Amino acid sequence: MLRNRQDKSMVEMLTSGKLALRVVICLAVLAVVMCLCAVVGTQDISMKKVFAGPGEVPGENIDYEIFVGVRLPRVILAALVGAALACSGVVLQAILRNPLADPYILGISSGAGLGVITAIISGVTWGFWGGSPIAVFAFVGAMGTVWLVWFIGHFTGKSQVINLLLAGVVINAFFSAVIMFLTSIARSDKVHSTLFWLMGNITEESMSVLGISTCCILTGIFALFCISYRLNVLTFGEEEAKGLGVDTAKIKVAAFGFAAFITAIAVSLSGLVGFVGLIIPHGVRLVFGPDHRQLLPLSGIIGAAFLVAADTLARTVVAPAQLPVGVVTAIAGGPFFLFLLAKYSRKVSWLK
Amino acid sequence: MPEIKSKMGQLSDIKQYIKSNSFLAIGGGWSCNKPMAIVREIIRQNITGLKAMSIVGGFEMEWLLAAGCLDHLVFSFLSLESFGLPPNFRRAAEKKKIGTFWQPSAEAIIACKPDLVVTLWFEQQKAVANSLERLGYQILTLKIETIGELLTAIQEIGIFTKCQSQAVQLLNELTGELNDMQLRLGSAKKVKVLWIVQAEPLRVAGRNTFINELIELAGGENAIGDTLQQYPPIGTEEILACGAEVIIQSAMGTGNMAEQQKAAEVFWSRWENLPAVKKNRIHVVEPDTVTRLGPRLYQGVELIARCLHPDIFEQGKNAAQQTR
Repeated sequence: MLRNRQDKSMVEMLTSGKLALRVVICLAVLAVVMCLCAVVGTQDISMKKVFAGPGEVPGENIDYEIFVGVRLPRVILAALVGAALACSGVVLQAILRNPLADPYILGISSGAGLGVITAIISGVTWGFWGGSPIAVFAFVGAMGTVWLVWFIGHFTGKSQVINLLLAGVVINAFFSAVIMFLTSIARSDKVHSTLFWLMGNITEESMSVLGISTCCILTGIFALFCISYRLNVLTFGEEEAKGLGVDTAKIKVAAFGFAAFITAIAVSLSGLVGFVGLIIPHGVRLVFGPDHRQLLPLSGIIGAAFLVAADTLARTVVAPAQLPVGVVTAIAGGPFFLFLLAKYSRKVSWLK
Repeated sequence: MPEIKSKMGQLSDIKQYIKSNSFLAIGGGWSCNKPMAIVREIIRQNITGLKAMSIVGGFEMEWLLAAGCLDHLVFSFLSLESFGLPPNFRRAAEKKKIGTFWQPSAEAIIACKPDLVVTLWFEQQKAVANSLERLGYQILTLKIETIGELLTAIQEIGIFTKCQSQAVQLLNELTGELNDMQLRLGSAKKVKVLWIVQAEPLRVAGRNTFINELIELAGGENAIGDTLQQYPPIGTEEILACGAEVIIQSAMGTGNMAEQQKAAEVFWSRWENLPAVKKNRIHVVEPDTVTRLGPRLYQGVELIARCLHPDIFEQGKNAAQQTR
């Protein structure tokens, strides 16, 4: 039944008007979610006081400080990270033709993790554009690992997809072992910092970091959107895609590069937030169909809304303490995805 | 007939009996039969960090809370009778939480309208400090991992809070007490100490820790040699080879100390050839004073020194008794 439905939606023509309408509706949902989540927090704030502007000295208008200085940057950051991870998941599932592919499958998580623990243990204090050294090391670690996995996959033979996956698994295992070794010899406070990062942890960032990250992630998503119709062809198989005139090698390099780039930025900002890159693409595919021209932007927007909501839960559910957002995405995302799967595969009678 | 010792003392000597972190049980009715002279003296002598228990509390608890002497209060009822709910008790009970040690909440901190935010030097607290600094709050980030860093931190806090003279006084008291301890220990033989931070799996304090400094100040030496890790896990071979003369284990949680002591003795009895086990020199100690680097450092050193050199402290006690 699922296959029939997907086939039907593939056959159903996706017009630009229909795509625009769906994107606008999803953007409106995202805007509503972001607004709602920005007014929810551990402290009650008055929007009237927020609009009154900042006080002359710190502490004069705490409602404004909490809204503009703490919640807004955090909500924007969560949206950016959610969008990047969901889009990256869509692309990697397409080029690897593997439904279990997520943004971390090719070793990005362990590479970034190794970068982070190196930064924490070495105690470096410098960063770029107001970003912490952890973010810089995570980004470098993630990109370095992606390059290594790509190089090994490319070097070892023609069947690149399987080789890439195997190289990713091996590099992941090796780097994870190095991380465990470093964790076992690190000081307890440094181990804690690393653990929080590994569980996914969204914190308030400066506007300069947010600005640069927004530009990079939106550019990456736009670039992926530009090649999304070729990803449709790639899902038929490499030989078929070549037969239809698509330069599969170039497309794969471009898709892989951009997906890795936006994932590395997301990981450097928020640590390893799991599940978003796996369940959002599948959920959107189940509801709207598998056309990548639609799947990519809608996954990005819904991924953003999902992570904003998850982060709001993470910072309010045990307030004033906070949960790592990765815990919330896993707890909330798993059952929700199962619900979608059961509903759209029509295997459960009461959900039909 | 045994000699009856007088338990009477002067109020001015109250610090001999009630120390910072002591647990007080204060009796009496709502507003009568309270030892108010003692309460006033505690406040006068600024004995802080106290824990107290009161079945029917009133003015005495209110005063101690107002003076900032109480850290922890166990009670069943508290009232100022016709004057209503004690305001300082209410303030203390409603004091806002600002998250946890590892995950402080920037929002909750802003809501407290702080004049100064003091954080420690690790990622979670640094991240919150950065966002508060961007909003214009005054931030003091401290790194306190050694005794030297603790003394510097006290000075820095004194400067930032414009209480330099109090900070200098505290530093002088601390260093004076530590120097007195060194004089008291004199040339006593260094005792080999195995410091257990976790029993299962067994993990001990290595040399690159402030606990190691504590052991050395208390006239001991760490039985564990140089290690890569700060708190290395060790096996039976290392335990037997270290030749520990004293085993110190900081108590876990809020469980009964006597039971924890008994459990530790049973646990260590399997290494019967270890000198510490042979001589039954296994001590489970209160973790508050020995695992936290703070102004109560001297109390921790004294506690450990008493475990390592009971003879010196016994002699001191006898000498004091003879003089009296």
